Amino acid sequence: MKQALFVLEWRRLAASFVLSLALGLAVIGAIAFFLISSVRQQQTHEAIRAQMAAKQTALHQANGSWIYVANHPNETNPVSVAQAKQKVLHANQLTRLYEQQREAFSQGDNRNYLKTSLRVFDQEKILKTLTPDDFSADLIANQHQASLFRKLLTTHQGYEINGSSTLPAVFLTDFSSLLSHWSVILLMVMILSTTWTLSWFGKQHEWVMLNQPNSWIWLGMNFLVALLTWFVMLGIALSLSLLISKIWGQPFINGHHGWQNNATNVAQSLKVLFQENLLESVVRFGLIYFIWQILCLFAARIRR
Amino acid sequence: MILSVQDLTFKFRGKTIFSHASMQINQHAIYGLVAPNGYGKSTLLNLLTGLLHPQSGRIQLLDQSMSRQLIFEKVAYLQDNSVLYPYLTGQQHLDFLTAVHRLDRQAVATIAGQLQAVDFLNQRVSKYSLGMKQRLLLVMALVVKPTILLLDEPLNGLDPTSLQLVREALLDLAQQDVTVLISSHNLDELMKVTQHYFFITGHQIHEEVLGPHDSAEARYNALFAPTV
Repeated sequence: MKQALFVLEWRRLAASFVLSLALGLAVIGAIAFFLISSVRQQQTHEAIRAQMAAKQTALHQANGSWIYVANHPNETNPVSVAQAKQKVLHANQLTRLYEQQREAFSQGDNRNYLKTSLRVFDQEKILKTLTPDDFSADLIANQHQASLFRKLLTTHQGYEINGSSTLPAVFLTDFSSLLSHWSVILLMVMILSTTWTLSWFGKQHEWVMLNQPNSWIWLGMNFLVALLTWFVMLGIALSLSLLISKIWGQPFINGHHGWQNNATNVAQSLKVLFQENLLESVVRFGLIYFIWQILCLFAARIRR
Repeated sequence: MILSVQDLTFKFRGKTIFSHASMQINQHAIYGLVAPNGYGKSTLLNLLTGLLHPQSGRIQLLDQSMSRQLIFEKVAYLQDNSVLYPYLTGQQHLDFLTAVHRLDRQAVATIAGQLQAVDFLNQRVSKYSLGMKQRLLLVMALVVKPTILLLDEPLNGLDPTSLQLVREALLDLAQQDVTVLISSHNLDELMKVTQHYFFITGHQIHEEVLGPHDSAEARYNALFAPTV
């Protein structure tokens, strides 16, 4: 009985447009997400360039006033002049580092970029301590980045940012995060439950009900078929993503980025985050699908 | 007793369909169920199969209270063709029945052959004509080898050849200890298989056995034709 119902539900899903639509969406979703990530990678590139340029400009302006004080000792007290000279010294060093950082970034020299960035963070910290009011730097963000960059340097990995990466590990983690999002799950539940919903609100359920005495078994078998389909969809979407990212994926600066690296702004590794996303996706799908089935069942009974 | 309805009252969306109605079938035979549209023929068949539940009254099949299991084991019900899944093939519908009722595939194929349904079984139902759907529904009802066979308008959309096939299949069943209750507007065709009728009038079910010279159509007109 259970096997017959499972086969019937699978055939209903496969024969209706629903399965093709769902599988089509899995393929289109993987391709679209890769294209979006590629665009975001370029945008993040531009944003970082702009951020570096903005930092240089701000430092240049602040340095201008410190140079003035340092060069006009007769206009202010000796302590301020001494401090200004020290600030100018560090500002000049930082300016050079900014320049090196920009060059490394433009040339795709990942290792040099990370190394220079670490020195930039140190220099920014010194300057911020010397002149807390005139110089702006987010020391806490720097600290986080420094810890990440040190790890990347030790493990010889490239710098990647979640949401802007097309390399397999980060890209698949990002895509799995999308596939576990409530809105995506809700959409897929609505699509995959179409054969169940239409059957319950139409007359077709009567024929099945007359030929198997327990509607809960039917519900259970439909649930299993839907869950299996979701597994298949996840498999197809992620396999395709892996293939695309292996062929066309580009590093953010340069170098490889493996599964053991931490995700951006999260303490977990990409591997753990990916596994959690998949588990969340399956659990959320199962939960929403089951609730929807029960709602349909009772709504159809009330309607009749 | 094969089928017993006692003191049945059923209202649907405020409209009374049956009011303290009763009917009984004690012998295996073919019976006609006749009434104009909207008088409750399909409703009665749905009540007899548990798809609808009466507000009051008692329905028994084969001396037992109705249950899903009893209906699954003993009753086959040919409903209108909206119960078919248009995106499945006829064969896939039959495969399901074969599996759940543990039927012999060869026996199923034989019945499909008798009703000349084999040629289109592998097509999707959405491509069927009305007659093809009716023949598939009939095959689906016959293959489960029921004790009670309920047929709701089985003759709709059938061409003369198909009508003859169906008639022969029904007459065969009458020889096999099966009770067949057929609801139909095709009184001429119904007369060829039975003289025993249940008419639904005034929210009640009346049983009548017509004589050899009586006509179902004349009786229908006497009961239901509008008085001028």
